[in-house]
Amino acid sequence: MQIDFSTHLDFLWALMPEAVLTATALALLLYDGFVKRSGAGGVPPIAWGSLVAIGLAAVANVWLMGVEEVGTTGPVAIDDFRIFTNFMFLGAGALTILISLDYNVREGIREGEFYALLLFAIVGMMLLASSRDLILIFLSFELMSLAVYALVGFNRRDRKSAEAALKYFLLGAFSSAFLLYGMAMLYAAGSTTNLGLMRQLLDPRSVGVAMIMGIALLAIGFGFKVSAVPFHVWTPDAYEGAPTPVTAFLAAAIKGAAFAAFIRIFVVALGDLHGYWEQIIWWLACLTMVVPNLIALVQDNIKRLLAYSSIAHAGYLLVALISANESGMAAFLFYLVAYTAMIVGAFTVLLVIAGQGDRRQRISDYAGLGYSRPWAAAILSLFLVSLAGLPPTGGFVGKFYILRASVESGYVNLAVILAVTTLVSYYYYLRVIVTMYMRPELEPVERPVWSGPLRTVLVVCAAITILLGILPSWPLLKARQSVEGLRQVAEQVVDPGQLAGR
Amino acid sequence: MSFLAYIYSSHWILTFLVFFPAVAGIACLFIPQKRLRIWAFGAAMIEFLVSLPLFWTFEIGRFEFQNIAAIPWIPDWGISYSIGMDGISLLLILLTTFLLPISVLVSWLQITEKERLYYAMLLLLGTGMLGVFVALDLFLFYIFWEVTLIPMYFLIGVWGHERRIYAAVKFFLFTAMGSLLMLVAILVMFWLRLDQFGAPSLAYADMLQLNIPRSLQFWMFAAFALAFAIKVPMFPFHTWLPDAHVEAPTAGSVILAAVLLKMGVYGFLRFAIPFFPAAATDPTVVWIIFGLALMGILYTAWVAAVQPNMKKLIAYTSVAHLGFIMVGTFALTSESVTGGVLQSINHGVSTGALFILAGFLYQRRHTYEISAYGGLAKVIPIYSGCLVVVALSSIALPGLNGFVGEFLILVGAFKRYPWVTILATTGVVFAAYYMLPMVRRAVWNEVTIEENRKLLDLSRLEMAIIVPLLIMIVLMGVYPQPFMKRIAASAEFLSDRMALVAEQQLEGSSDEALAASSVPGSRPETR
Repeated sequence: MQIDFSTHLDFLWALMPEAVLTATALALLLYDGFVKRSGAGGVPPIAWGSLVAIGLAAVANVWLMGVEEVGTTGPVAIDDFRIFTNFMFLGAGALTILISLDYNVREGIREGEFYALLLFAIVGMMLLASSRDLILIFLSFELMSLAVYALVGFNRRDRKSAEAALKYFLLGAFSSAFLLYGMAMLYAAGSTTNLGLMRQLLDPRSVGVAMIMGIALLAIGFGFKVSAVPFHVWTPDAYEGAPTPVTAFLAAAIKGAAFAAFIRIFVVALGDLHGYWEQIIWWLACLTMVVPNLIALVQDNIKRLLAYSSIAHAGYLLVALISANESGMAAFLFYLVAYTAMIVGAFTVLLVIAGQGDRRQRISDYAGLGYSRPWAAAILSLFLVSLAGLPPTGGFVGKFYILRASVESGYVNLAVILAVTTLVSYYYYLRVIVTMYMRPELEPVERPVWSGPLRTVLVVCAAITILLGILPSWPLLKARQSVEGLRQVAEQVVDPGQLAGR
Repeated sequence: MSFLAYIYSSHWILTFLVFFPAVAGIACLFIPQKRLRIWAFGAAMIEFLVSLPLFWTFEIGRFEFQNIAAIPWIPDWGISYSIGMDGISLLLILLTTFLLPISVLVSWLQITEKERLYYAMLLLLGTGMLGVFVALDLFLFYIFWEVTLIPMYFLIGVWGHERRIYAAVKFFLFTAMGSLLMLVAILVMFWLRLDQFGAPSLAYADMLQLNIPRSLQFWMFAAFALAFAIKVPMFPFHTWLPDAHVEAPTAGSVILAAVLLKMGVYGFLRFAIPFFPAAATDPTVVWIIFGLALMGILYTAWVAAVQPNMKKLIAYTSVAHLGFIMVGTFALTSESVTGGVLQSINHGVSTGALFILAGFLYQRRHTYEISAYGGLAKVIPIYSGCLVVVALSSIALPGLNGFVGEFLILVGAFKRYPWVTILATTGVVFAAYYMLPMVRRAVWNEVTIEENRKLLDLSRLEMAIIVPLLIMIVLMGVYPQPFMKRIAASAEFLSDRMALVAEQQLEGSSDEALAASSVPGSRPETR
């Protein structure tokens, strides 16, 4: 099937997975409004319904693989990049729902809207990664963010949750303003909101002030969204206060979606202006690697520690993107998959160990866990080792790929900074492992409840983490193929002669 | 029989040796406590017995790699599962498998808690070490190099003594620091390969053909050398070693001294020197290395002399001995390189034995302070005899193994760097200066502490541990020929190759012009 956006129906076809997801989410919301609530907890049917919705959207996404797009200027992209990221967001969403089931029951979150909001956030993310139009990008940002603001504050009885939501909302709205302003500037300079057209129309030789302003404002806006230093201050609080499944979702999927839009705007549409934006992104990447890794050294709360670790990982992803070549974008996709698996896995273990009311969140609470709960400790160690980027895990192969991309495009200095900050990060990941295996138990942990869904998530995440480390060739191939559509754009970005002249 | 012959001439034997310990280690986690020790020992023994025939099936006189394999692993990046061995790796492999059952036995005596995890980690460490010695692909090598970190970190951190966590973290961070920069250098090589040959590859043989611009060679040599120098450890980077040794359980110390440090030497011989010949033969670089090695020999000899702690003393002697080996390695004559490798094996055996003997004393008195002992010869004569023999081997008494290696190094290095050799030779004197007083204070004086009168002499198990080591010490001392023969071809090949490069440099920078011309202007800039 071919799509050229000549009729309105084409839009529906092009947005099939999103449409399916939205429709089912709305239906579930309605159903939840009318169904009688059984007084005693238990997993609400809407939760299972939302899993089905994700399954349907995945099927639609598979169907989308056979659809062809005419040209590269349609407002909605139908390329391998989008298909890949769609699968990833759906997967991350499914994992999040699976770990929320028990958590919500335990923490007394009974409202079915939780799952509907999650689905809407996923719709926003999928749109974000697929839109080739500035306005659509902004809309999907808002769709995603509004749902997530609500999710962060979903645990109404918890003060921390409310605080997190407020901070996240205020700064999120603030950053949206930056984004919007930047987009307006871009529109003024490029006289189009379509990214595909913008690339064709832009003349890198005559770049005006409006363009530069637009790039700067957009970079700031994205900096907030992906929590790059110095725009990261909301992150630790939001991550700490949010319900743990939402934290996992925030850390993995939301960041990925924002980065995907970043690729669409900076790497693809503004690819020719690489020389103008690489400086600012260089500094963002550098700071985002150095600062959080240092701050994480002194964290006592494990959720906060992982929050800082996730900021640092945003820095590594920025390194992949600044390379702006094929391997950079492929590295980004690969790393995102590995990172999603390991961070969701890590938060799952945290969620279980924390126990009723999220009490056990300090690193010292993990003392002796290696012997009292050997499986939980072993699997958490696996995720931490992978986050640290030690072989043979997916984290290592991903980091290798990112380093490769940055060396390839001449950013050896960023590669060295990445290596050194990784060294720093070893210390705090090791600290958790030290506590689990080398310090005596302080107070016995009550027997954690490992329900079926939680086990599934852990097994899936661990399997992905190990497989990506040991047999990465197939995923690597897929990641590379997925960005091939963006390639012709990227090829011109790194001009060897230009590099040597620098 | 032909099946066995096939196995021993193919890569399967190496593949088995590398992965069997890991499998056995994971199995250890699930074995009932009662049978655990026997099983762990059985696994280590199988490993050793399977590896032993390699000594005879190895083709002497061939410098090419043997038992090679190259199975595509990540074809997209040109990364393959490439393994193989030559004379240099053969003996290091055998040293590793020889020490594995011994360290399991040592642990029988010492480790009483969390045993499952312990034996799992010990065996997993075996996989990492053997992998390092057989890997012929930089990606694979790096993975195994890092894989050794975590088990050792656990061995020190969980089963060590009082300051174990500090020592474990220090060990980990020091080693990781070097290896991360090496990773960046590996990636630069990957990129150069892609640029010069158009196809990605990280295979060892392909990397040797790279044309690396001279200026870049220095940076990359520095990155590799830092990783290996930390591991060796060379003088200013050695501070993690005494801590790690003192805090580690006996088996950890044995493996650390005998094998992990040799990974650094091996890295220089296998990678840093052949990859970057221009940098490695550059006079300034060589003098820096010699300077650090001599500092290591002389300075640590003084430091060792005043150590009250037996294990720390042995740790410092390791730094001194490794300094010696580095002199041999960088003198780059075929004798000195052979001597360096041989001395690596010797040092592994004798220092391993020293740590084991120190561990035996610790079992009895729970202290490593030398002053807590004295007059042991009268109370536990067999033990004292062993200690004296091992100490003499460590200070290179002719007829014991240490002498052969040091002699070869000195002979080989004297040809090219007489003054360095003379200075290094004083290290031999110093070795006697710190080692003999320790032996005297522990073994010979009068018994001053009543508690020592009640000490028991070596048990049968302890004899079973120490006797194989003593046999090796004497055997390699009186009949080193078979060992040398196996190293010689590879060592000679390396030294010839380097001599060739040095000659080319003298003739003028023709290869430099070549290197510059084949690399377009787009080489990575360090901005």
